[in-house]
Amino acid sequence: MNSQIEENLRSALSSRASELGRAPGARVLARDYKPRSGVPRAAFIGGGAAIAAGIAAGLVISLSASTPRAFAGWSSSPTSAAAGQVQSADQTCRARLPVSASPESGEQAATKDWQAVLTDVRGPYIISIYSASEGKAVFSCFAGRDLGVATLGGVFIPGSATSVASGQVAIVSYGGNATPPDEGSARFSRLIGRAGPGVTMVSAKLADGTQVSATLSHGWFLAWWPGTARPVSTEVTTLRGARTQTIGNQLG
Amino acid sequence: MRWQRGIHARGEFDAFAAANADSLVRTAFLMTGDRTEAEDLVQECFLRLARRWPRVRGMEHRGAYAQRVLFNLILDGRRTRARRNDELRTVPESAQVEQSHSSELEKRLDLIKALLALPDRQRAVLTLRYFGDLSESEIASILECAPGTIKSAAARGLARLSDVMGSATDHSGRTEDTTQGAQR
Repeated sequence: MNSQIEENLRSALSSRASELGRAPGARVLARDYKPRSGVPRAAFIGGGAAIAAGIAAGLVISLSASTPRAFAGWSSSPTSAAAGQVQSADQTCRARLPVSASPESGEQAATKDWQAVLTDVRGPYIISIYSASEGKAVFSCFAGRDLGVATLGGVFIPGSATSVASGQVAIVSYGGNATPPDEGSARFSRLIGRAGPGVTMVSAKLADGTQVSATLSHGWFLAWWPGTARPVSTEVTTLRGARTQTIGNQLG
Repeated sequence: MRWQRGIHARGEFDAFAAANADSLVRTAFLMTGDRTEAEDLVQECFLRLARRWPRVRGMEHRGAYAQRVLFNLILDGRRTRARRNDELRTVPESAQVEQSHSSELEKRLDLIKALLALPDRQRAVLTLRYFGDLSESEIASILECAPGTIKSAAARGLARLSDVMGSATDHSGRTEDTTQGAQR
């Protein structure tokens, strides 16, 4: 019984914390406040502001020059969903999920067997991850402004679902896809992985320097971005600190 | 404040603050349920650390010490009075929008509400254990109490959450199988 509530609690806390975005401390570091206890505020604000500015600069989407118009409204950090957005996209995506969750075994997966393990919202765009066959079959589903249209991208993972160590992440899939025709069939890239216990935030750094904050839920993470820039590293944050992990050959 | 070693010490603190601000704000947010309150707490935490920096800078586990200062601020109750009235209505925006449509989001929201309703120390233990994946001894160090106290607080907190979530499930008429399936 406890293991179920523990798992649910991990997921709920992770999901709740991810609502703060990639650098929730930036405002604290940058804030020009008046100390209430008489402690000189010069303590860290001087240099801290400079550091915060650097952090904030990293948050600024640097894709303005290269982001296709089709991705207007895209954000490098997840945003909150609009009313009905998640439900509509979910209905559309479920109607397109395959009935066979495993091409090797021919194992059938009815629509209800696909579990939505993560939903990433960035402005008008939603990508959801669906998992079946105990995590061996994974599909991502993209929906844009027209929530009645979606594109699927799938991956089948041979063997058992990977168990990821505490504070670690493992990449499950990296690949490109295109938006539905009504969104201009524009190319985008997505990085999907598993996150171990204690991982509180994941972000991907792209070859062009852009930093994209991932959505983290149910031990999965997903980051996606317009275009075809390759990710070069992930930044994995735990309460013990942040650590950069070079992606290297994991992408194949 | 006079930096005893001038600009070098100040630079060290700046780097320390920048490296720890995110995790401290997230932790405080989970404890209080309110982002602004969390930022205020972390702000005051940094002020205290800055005042003690000549001593703190030599510590091996400065990050853990920062967590301790933060939790002292949260648990001393001075800053939580205003929160009490607000915490149960502070819910994720996305969950507010979607809760009538998604049993999964609804259940997650219920769990966060139940967590926020726990006594401060139980909430602190569960947050550090299941968000930070910290060990009992690490949590005991942060909260300045015995590991046994952490263990019992975690057990009581989990039992309470199980009770609340069980009641919510029963009340909504959902079956146990359906609930588990939605969370897989």
